Amino acid sequence: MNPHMPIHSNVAHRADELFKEQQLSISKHTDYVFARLMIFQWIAGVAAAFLISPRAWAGIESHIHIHVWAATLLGALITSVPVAMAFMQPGKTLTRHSIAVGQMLMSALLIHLTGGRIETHFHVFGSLAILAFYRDWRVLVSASAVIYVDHLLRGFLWPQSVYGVMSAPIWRSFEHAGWVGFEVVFLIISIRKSLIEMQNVAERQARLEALNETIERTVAERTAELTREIAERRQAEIELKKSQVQLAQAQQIAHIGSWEWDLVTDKVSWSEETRRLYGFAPTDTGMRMDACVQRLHADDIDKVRNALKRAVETGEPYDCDHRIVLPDRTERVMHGRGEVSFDDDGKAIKILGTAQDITQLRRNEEALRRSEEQLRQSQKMEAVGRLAGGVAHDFNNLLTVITGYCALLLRRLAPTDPLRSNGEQIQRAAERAASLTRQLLAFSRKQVLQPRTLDLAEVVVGMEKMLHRLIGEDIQLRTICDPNVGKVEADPGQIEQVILNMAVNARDAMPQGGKLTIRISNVVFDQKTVIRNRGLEAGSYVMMAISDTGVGMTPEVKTHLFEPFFTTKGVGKGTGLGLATSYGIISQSGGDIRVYSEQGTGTTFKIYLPRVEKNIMKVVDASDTDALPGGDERILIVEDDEAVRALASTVMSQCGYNVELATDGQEALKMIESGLKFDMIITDVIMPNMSGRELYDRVRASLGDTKVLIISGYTDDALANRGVLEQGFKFLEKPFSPISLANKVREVLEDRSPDANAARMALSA
Amino acid sequence: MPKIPARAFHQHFTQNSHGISIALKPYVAKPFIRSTICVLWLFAVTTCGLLLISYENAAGPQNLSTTSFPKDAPVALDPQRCTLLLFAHPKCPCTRATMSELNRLLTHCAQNVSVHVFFLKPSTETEDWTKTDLWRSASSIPGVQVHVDPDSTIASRFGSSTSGDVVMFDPKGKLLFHGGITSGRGHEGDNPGASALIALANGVSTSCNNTPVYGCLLQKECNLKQIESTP
Repeated sequence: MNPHMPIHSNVAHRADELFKEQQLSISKHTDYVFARLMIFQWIAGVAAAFLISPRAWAGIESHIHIHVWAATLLGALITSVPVAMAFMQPGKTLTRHSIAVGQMLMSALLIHLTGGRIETHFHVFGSLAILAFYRDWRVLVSASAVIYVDHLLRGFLWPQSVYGVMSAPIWRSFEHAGWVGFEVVFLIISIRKSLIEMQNVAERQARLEALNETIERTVAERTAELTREIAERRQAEIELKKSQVQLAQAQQIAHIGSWEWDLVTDKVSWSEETRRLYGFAPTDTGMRMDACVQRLHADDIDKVRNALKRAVETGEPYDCDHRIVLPDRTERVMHGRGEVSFDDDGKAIKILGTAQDITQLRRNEEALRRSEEQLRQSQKMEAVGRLAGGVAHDFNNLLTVITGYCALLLRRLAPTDPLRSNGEQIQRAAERAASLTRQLLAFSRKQVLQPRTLDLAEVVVGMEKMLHRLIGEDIQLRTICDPNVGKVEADPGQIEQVILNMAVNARDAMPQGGKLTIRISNVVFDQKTVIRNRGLEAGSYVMMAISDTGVGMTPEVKTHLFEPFFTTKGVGKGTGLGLATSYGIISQSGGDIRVYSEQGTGTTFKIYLPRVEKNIMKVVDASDTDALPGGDERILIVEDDEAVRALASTVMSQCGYNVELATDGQEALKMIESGLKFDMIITDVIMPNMSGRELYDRVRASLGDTKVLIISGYTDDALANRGVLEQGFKFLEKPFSPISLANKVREVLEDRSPDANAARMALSA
Repeated sequence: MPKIPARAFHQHFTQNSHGISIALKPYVAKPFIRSTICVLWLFAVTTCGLLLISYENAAGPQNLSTTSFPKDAPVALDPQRCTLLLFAHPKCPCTRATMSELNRLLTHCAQNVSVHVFFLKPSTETEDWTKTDLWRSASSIPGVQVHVDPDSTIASRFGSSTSGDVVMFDPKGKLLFHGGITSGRGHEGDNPGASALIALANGVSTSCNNTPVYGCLLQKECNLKQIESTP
């Protein structure tokens, strides 16, 4: 910087300030220097007085020399004011002048104390040089004035003490002052140069400060900008982090992860959710595509590779569903999407994509498909059921008449009668027809079940002989029953029907013989097991597993296994109703059937029925004798079908009962309301004008001890809830034989039903 | 430090919650007060200085009792040269300047002067009392003979009562000079006494043959009065 270049007024003002500050600083500093120096001088003076002239003598007597007092007191007096002002008012003009005067007076004192030694006079010149530290020529003038006045005064009063003669002219005073002036002149010149230098320094300092101020302002502005930029960047980083967290959460919630395949470096990187979905380790931040595809299901690797290759080659979006196998061997179904990015040359450089976990979606789709299948099956069942129900009512009435009259006829024919064989053929055909009708109702779950508390093991054991006969000698039957197996509530006849159906199927699956195993045990489905065994609620079940070592089934066959009229046995060999019927019965009983089959190994049907904690009621079966049990009670038969009504009337009359007939509910109601008393009412259910159920409900209060027996081939849920007969109803299924009707009537009249038995047991207990 | 006026105090001090005065800014005495203090100070210093100088320039008593060299003097008059006698108190600090002046003046006239220095030795004191640094200083000057002056009897004989008093006789025993050779108490430097002695020793006549003597008394003041009253 050129100190001579013109300076701005502010800089000049600042330079002046700095110059004055510097001057003040120098003055203060010099004040402090002199303050210490003068204190030292005072102490030194006192010491010198004690050393040089401690005492004044008169002969042998002495007293403290006046020099000691002078050094102590006068020295203190000289020192006090300048030192006090130096400490109290440093930098003040008066302070430095008082110091200058004091310092010169101290010089005089010291010269005096040392006996006017010429060497001590150097104190004067040294003090002047030190006073020049102030860089204030006025101070030197003050000091010089003191010196001159001292010499002038002493030269005037005691000239010999100054000039060495008793009288001296006035010009002698100028001689000594001249030497002082000689030094002072050069000191003043030096001070002036020093002040100029100080002025230059101050100007340079001012310029530097101005420059610094400019730089600092620029730095401050830039710093503010940087601070703002940093704050904005931090805010952006926070927003970005927040956004990333939200994205990660969104990915986690949606089970959608993102990934990027850099085709140049062949490195695949992924988001946290993708890492989690694919089961990569947290430390895995990326890997080559070849390593990535190892996580895919072996069957899907080629599919994914081809889809990626096609996307890279054609630029079309990558879209591929595939399965992955996690390290714990569980599988996930993923839906991958991706978009290919190209460089300026049209070369594919990377694929950005997403990976969505659609495992649950697939499960839901499967469940939906299954539900839809079940719905279709249900609708099919409903249709078949309606058809079956529609025909069953009239068909059972016809069969009742056929079997009933055939039975009555056979009762009259002697065993050797040639017509007896014809009658029996008619009866067997009618029974087969009745069985067919029953099966139609069964698989469409329209049959009426009469559930009881059963021990499945007892049922199976009771059927063993029959099953042996059914399956033949080539097939080995084995029954394994848990001794603590629980009870179930089911219609025993229907359960037997199910077991028979299964046994027949097993036999047909083992034409070369094999093993048929029936295992009965308790199982408990907890909540986790229920998930795997959809269709069953959590709880205790009794499982009956019927296993064969036959040919097994294909998946296709398994799919249609329980469909009605589906059979693999060829035309004329199977009706296709067996398993459908079985499924209907079990479903109607609150259970489920599961099939496990492998081709060439065999098939296992597992039947699950809810376990109940009830005791088994012993049923007192009517004696199965040819003789019709009878009585003399009065019975009202309500039946719209004339033939059935006539048959029932005939049978009851033959049994000795007093029979009244009504064609429908209304007629029966009129008879009852007219005051006629009956011991029993036998009524059909589905009748014109008034159903049997309505009749029962209307007269129940006024029946008293009158028993009601319902006969029906199809009740259309009039009496049953989901096919299960409501409590209190006595029911005889059509078609019935005369003996079964007679037995049932007698049973009801004598109240030998299981419920009545239970009531009696309770009373006796 | 001058007492701070109440108004000035309140301008420069305040009190905290504990009642302790806290300076708001350094107390600055007003220029008038400062100037007044400085003037008073200068006056006091000047006064004290003048008093001190006055003391320094106060000469000791002189009693010219002889104009010729006594025949019963303890030292013999030098018949070839002037005989210079200096009477000194061995512990007088002012006499140190006299010894320096003696030394200096002898550099100008040593061949023409026989010098004898007599140091007071009170009869109550030992020799050590007398043989101080002044004794050694005088002894070290070439050509100077140092003697003991028992109870200042010799000084009294020559009428000297102040340390630093010098008397010089010509070879015939005539008194040439009597007085001090310093310009003040203990003050070295050019002085009329020394100049006169050099001139006289070198045979130059001078009008100055008597100067004031600056130094301690050789005897107590009452003894001096007795001596003065002795015929």
